[in-house]
Amino acid sequence: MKTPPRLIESLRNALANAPELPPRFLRGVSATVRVGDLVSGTSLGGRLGELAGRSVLVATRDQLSAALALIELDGVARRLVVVTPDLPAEHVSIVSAKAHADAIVSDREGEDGLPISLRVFSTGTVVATNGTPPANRQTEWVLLTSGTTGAPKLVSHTTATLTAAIADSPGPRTDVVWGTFYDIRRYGGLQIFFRAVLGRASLVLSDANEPPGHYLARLAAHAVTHVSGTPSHWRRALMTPEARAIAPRYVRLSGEIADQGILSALRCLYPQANVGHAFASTEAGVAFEVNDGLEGFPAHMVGASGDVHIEVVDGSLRIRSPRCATGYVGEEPSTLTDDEGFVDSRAAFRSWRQPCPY
Amino acid sequence: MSIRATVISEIQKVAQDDKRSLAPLTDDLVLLDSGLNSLAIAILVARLEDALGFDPFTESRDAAYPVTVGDFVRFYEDAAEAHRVASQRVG
Repeated sequence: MKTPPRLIESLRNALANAPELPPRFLRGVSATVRVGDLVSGTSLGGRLGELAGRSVLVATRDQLSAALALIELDGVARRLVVVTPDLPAEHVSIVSAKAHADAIVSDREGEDGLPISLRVFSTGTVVATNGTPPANRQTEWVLLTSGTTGAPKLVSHTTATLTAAIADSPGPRTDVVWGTFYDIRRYGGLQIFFRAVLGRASLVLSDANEPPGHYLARLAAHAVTHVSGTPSHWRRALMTPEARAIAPRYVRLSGEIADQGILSALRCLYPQANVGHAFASTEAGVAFEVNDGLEGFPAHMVGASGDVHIEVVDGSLRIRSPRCATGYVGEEPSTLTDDEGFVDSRAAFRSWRQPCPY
Repeated sequence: MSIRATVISEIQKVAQDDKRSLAPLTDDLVLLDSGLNSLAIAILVARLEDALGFDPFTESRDAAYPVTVGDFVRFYEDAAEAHRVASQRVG
């Protein structure tokens, strides 16, 4: 599998190849960073070199701070552990130990009890730097599962597996502005982060405490064109008056199975938009994307040839693709996939438009 | 009981059970500003499904989601009418 360039290199190359294009931005709730400033600056206080080759916890409260750190650290850190913002402190300790973390990037003041000596404070802003960039290396991305009980599992990906579902060419449009209700530190949100960074788009990020109406108003103010969220996010968003203020060209649902009710409601409110839904999990990656406006995924996808192999076995879907995670960290290596490299998903099975038996 | 009366009654019961104070339920009040949060609205939708026998949020209809209390009542009234027509066709 081809190793993609570092994220910061992708941003730099895009700017160099098309300097005439309008500026791109990463926007948080209280700060905005111009991509052109990021490629020649740092949000890590110029301490990127110290983080090179380390297993780094990215554990910020603020989403924009996390985005900036992930861009800078990709291709520099040996392992990037993407900590979800609502993870309880006792679980952060478990995650840190399993990942053998030896550095942390955080925007929180105060003692966290973690036995990590190298600590880098992120301010969520970018300052110019003329430091020499550290040597390029492949970074292991570690994402956390979102189970409701117990400590999360640590799921290992590479930049290649995380971006395998994203088309190579960003296309001719340069006015794409992404918004995501889904936090970029979860798999579904991270897909949007990569789409925006690699697709020459701007990205407007929400805050964990921000009401959906307020976020939608910011999306409208920045002329959002592509918006992603779970069906639950969308159900709540569509009941706010501010949902009428945006006119996206593309609406995406992932993270939960989308029923026909929410797909139809989105089509009704945004008749100009393509409404698509995807099934993805942290372990299986993006298994399929459906853009016909109907719930479920077509039966013909099972057994079809292509990058993604889907099989149905005993009420479960088995998925094997270049988008699948490479393994768990701190668990038995054989537990993620079976002997043939398939990841098992009962949740995906519920979304299958089973062929009529008659 | 009419659909409107059922919906308003269930809104009041959910608020009461959750010890939430409600703003006056005028038709132009934004439902999310009424005092019900999104969890309370999910409970409301489940209770209305028990009471009325349908959940218009999961049905495929070309209708925008309701924003105000008036929209919410009409959303259920329209769904009830669609169910009445459908059951007549079956019958």
